[in-house]
Amino acid sequence: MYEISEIIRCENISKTFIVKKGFFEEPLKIQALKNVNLNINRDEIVGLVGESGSGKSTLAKIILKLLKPDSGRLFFLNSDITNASEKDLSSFRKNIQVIFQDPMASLNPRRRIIDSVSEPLFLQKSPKVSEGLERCERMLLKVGIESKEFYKFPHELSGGQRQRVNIARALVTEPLFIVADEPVSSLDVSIQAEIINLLIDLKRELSFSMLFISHDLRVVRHLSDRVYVIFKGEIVEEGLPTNVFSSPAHPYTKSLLENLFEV
Amino acid sequence: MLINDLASERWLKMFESTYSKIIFKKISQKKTAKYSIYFILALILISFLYPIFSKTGYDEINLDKVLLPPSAEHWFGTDALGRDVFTRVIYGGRVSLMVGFVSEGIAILIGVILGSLSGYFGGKIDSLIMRLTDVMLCIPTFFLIISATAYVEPSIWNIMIIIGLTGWMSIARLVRGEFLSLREREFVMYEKAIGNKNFIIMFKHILPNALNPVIVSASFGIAGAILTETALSFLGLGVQPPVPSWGNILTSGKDILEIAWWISLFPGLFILLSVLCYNLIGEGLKDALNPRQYD
Repeated sequence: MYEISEIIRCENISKTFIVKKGFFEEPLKIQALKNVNLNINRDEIVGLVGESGSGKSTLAKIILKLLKPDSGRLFFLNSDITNASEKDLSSFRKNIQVIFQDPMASLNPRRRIIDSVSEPLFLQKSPKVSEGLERCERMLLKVGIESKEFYKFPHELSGGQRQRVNIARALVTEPLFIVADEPVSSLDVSIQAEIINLLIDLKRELSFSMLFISHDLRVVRHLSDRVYVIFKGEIVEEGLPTNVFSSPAHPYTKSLLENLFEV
Repeated sequence: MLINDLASERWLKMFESTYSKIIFKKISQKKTAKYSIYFILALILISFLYPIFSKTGYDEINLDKVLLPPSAEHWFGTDALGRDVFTRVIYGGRVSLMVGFVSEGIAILIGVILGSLSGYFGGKIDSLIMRLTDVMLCIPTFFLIISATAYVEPSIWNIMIIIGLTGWMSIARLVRGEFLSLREREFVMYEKAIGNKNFIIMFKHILPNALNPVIVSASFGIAGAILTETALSFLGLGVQPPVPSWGNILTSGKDILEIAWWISLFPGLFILLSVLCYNLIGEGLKDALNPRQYD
């Protein structure tokens, strides 16, 4: 047995949003996350399932250090980065990547594909220009983008191609850890399958861990090594996908599964 | 291997499918905007090339040829000092075009910087900059400019700077609005997540996407700046004689309008046409840059 090293650990993370603030009224608050504990190990795909509004994306943003949790702590490779300044985060930033839900909105509409893909590489690893571009091109070819598309703009590609570009951009820096925030939910079903298989192939080839966020149970079951179920900001279930989906313990998971089979 | 092919191909590809190409196509479909662009380009060419080819200077006084009506020799006639009005209008065009571009350039520079800071950072910086903008908007611009000219020597450069310093507010507001919506977009989140610096995100990633309304507003702004300069020069607060500008040629002709209509008519026509053309270009750009019309 090899020793499992932990990439990300969340401890008791809570986050409340103030929705409305008036001078005299009580501020209206929404608790997005309640004492969330979650960990992601090396080389592991962790699925996070929940309906919309359950706090999945908030958790993703907190893990990416785009939002500050109200309480709780976040660890990266066993060092506490909850209150780290941007300067101290440089090794964290170099080792994480993100794939967003909307492939169009996550690419800068005014930049060519190759420029978008090479952006993180030149920012974080600063290789020689020719070397860096070659790496980007190899990665783009690997995810199935042909070389004639390299100099196009995002609006000239199809949705599936754009998501492939996003995947190439996320993987080109060889990160330790990727947050995939509903990467397939805006694509149609046949393309969803292609993207999922691409992710599985790439995972086999390059090693990285991933937090895969989705509301689609089938996708999560197919892909992940371990599953968390989140309901109204709380993690209600955790375990291997076969266990969680064959014998769900929490009523919410059960209802999720029932809804699935109705379809 | 791959790279060498691509490096040479890169420059070719750059011109293959760009936004600018789409915009040019859209603009040329719109006739008024197209002809306005031709007119402005012709005006720029003539006003900068004419002084090279013509021997007459704008301040060449010839008392034998006072107040001559338009003829083959003097296309726009001569003024009370025997100066060729055509030459003066062309030189005046130089002043007006320069005032338009330079002062709008200053306004865009200030407006874009303040607007992007305000929209990107939000919070206290935003309130501070927006209150400053509100205060500036409260004061009627023209009177602000007139009072500013009381403190500085009324030269063409000072006029440009003053018009620029008092014209940035609407651009700042536009840019702020664009930044407010763009900073929530996922590609901006991505840049933050990979640890890009704020200023790079602002000016390299967000600003190019926020420029469309600025370009449209700049076109209208140039027209406004030309009118302001003309008005100032007409009142004697702008460009000082003997340097000609459309505004001060108008003034010099206003008292003798009944005997020499050509002195005021021609600069007036040029003011009308150039302002109209800038407005039509702005109108055309507004349609051409509208992202909803791309597909």
